[in-house]
Amino acid sequence: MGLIVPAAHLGTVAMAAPARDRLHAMFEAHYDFIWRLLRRLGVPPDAVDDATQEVFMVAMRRLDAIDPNAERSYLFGTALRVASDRRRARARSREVQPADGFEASAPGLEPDELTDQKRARETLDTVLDAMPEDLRSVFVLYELEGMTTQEIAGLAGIPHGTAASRLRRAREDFSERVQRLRARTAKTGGPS
Amino acid sequence: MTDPKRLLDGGGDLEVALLRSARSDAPSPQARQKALAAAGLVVGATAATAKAAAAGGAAAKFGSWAVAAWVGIGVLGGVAAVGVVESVSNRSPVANPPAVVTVQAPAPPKAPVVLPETPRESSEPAAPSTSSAVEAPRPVQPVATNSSANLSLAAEVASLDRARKALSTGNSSAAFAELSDYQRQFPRGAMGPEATVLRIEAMSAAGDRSGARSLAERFLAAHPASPHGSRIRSLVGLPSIP
Repeated sequence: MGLIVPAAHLGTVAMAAPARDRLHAMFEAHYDFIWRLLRRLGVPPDAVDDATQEVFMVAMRRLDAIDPNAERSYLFGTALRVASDRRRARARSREVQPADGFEASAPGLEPDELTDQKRARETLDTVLDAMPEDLRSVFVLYELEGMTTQEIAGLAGIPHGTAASRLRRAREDFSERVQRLRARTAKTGGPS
Repeated sequence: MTDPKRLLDGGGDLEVALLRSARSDAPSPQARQKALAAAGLVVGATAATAKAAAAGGAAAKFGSWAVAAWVGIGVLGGVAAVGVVESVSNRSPVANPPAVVTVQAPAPPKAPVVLPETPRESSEPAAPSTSSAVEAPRPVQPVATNSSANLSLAAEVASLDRARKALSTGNSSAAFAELSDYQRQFPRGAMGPEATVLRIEAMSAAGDRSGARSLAERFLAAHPASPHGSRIRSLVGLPSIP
């Protein structure tokens, strides 16, 4: 857990009541969604609380400029940028991963281990980390958040056709990586 | 253009196992509370904590942060009037939530939801129900004492936290089941408005947007000055009141 910046240092003490109410409503409506999104966009578990807070702090500072009908979209766009920054920072601080991202984190993975929740979650992170960012976000929204492509298009501010196209490519990409993982798993001795 | 079948519903076993592993992704209530504090949104925390403390130390057994968080929401909205207790006549169809969570949420229950006007204080004597809904047998309410009231409040908070957690992981069925349990156990509980907000959220999450909107409109019509009004309007896309 990183440093929690007190509101007093951010000038929020003088926040007007309507703004406070609005920000509070944004927290209530979107905090969990943004937290899950950041986690699934590659922010590590020990940094996702801070990253979520960062997203809402950005929103707080820009509250007057945010269209009340587009709060979720604004938070989504901010979360994409925060997640990207966090991923880049993490990448700089560690060794370069192999192209498909598997070897370093899942050497000799046994099939049984894949059904283990924690191991599976780590493996999912690895698979998602290897996907292109634009495909990953659409994939996460569709497959994990249960949104429709129409909703994704609205949230991301892209044409519906683009969202559908990205989803198709994202699913292919994901499936290919999982197939490679399965093949590697079989090669290490376990049944596929 | 139709959306493809989700991998959780039709993918390979490994794909499904990997995607299912993300079902536990959810923020801790502590993290949420810290973020609220950092944004300066817990001005009412002192009052809320005092209220919870006045309710007794029993709440602490369930996590004082949870009580503070829940009650704090009410205090932030200026909760003087307690609000509405939702009354649900039937349980969710999913009595036992499935072990496996799928993102594609099932249809929400179609049970009628009635909104009694105002919850009784736990120390009030029980009055005959005027609800026309078919209600499950209500458990006998114990004589209210400070201790029992404390335990009841803490138990209410814990119950709604479970519903919220289920909802945050996309498990609408479990959320509905928990909310129905809440209603059975606390038909006139102090956290009724929060339960209603969660039910509206669960209905929206499950794709029953018209049902969510209908319930929201009924709640707002019965309680136009509710501190939860803006949140509810936001949930169902109703225009906010300037």
